[in-house]
Amino acid sequence: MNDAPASQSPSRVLVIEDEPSIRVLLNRVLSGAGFAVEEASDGLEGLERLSRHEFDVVLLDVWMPHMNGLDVLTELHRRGSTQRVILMTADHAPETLLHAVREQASQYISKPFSSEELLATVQRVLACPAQPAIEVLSAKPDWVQLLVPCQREVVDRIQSFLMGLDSDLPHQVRESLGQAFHELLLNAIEWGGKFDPNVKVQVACLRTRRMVLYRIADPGAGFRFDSLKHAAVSNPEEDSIEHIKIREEKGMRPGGFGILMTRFLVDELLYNEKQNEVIFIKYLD
Amino acid sequence: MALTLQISSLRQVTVLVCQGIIVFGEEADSLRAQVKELLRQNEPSLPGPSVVPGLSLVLDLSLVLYMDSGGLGALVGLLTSIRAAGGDLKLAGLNERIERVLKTTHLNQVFQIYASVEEAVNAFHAGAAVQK
Repeated sequence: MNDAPASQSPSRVLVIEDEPSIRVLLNRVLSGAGFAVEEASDGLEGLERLSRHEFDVVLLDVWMPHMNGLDVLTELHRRGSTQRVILMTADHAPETLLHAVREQASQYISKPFSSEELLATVQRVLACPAQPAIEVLSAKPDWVQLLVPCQREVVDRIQSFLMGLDSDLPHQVRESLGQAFHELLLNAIEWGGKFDPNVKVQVACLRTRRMVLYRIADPGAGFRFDSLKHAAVSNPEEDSIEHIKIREEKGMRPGGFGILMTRFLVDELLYNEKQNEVIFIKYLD
Repeated sequence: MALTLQISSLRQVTVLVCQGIIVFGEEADSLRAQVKELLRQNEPSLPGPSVVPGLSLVLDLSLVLYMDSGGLGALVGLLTSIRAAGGDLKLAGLNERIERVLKTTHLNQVFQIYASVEEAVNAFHAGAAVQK
């Protein structure tokens, strides 16, 4: 995978990581994919390099000597920097993740990760035109509440952090929650917010001993299920893709499987009367 | 963009290897654009590599990490446009996650799915033999 065509200068990546073997490995994978890579062995050295050079993206470890990754994020935020930063850590403590969201990290990638995951994450972050600001309304590990702008790019970003909060859950439960969240947040941003970055969607994630609950409230007028002929959820049993013809006729993008998928992924799916707010629940016992 | 596409040919069948994620946005768009180009190359006036008239395409999904409803929609769009042009599409190498997504949306009944590229290519040839 190479994000930078031969005719353009390669994207510049700064790897801030104290473990030499990991640094070398990351450098090898990224250089092999055509990126121009520089390394820093702790937060202080990383900040110094960021003061002197411009980078398209920073890969930032959390726990390092001298200055840890969270302090680097805080310092960058304090400087008013819009630097794209991917946080990489094996530390799934909610406090760490929520600190990263508050300080506007671009993405979170959980160690250990494959080279494919790494490259896909870097490329997604680089493809994002400008990093939209996320407002943290509540950062309690069992009650996270965010206000997010209606931009496509925000979906992967929020998803990576919120799924990190559920890292103690079985893999399949996390996968289901992640996919359901992705689909419903994308629906809210696309249909409720019309991809307008000036309007916001409210996201809440509540965790109890026995369940995980997500609430997504968009600023749109809502919808009615009987007017969703362009969605797979309205298809007759004998034709799983009937809605695709309707989408084509209406000039809509391919898709429409989101609500149908979500119904199978979660235990409860509830809409309010206007249907511009949705709650989904996954029970843990 | 987090999707890399690589085209090859195996026994007169076009194989498109997808690596990364197939989601709403640039990734789904690039997949659709690539197949549109393959369809153009397989128009009757241009001799193509197919074993049947139209495009014979295997989509190798073994390196796909994630697919959302936009990605699924793109796959369905590919299927309908390839079939409309007289060709066919088969999927190969689905991981457990993608397989589950296809099952929950009943698309496992719409697509022809094979464990490997080799099996999918064999199926094209078996189909061609039956047609003869």
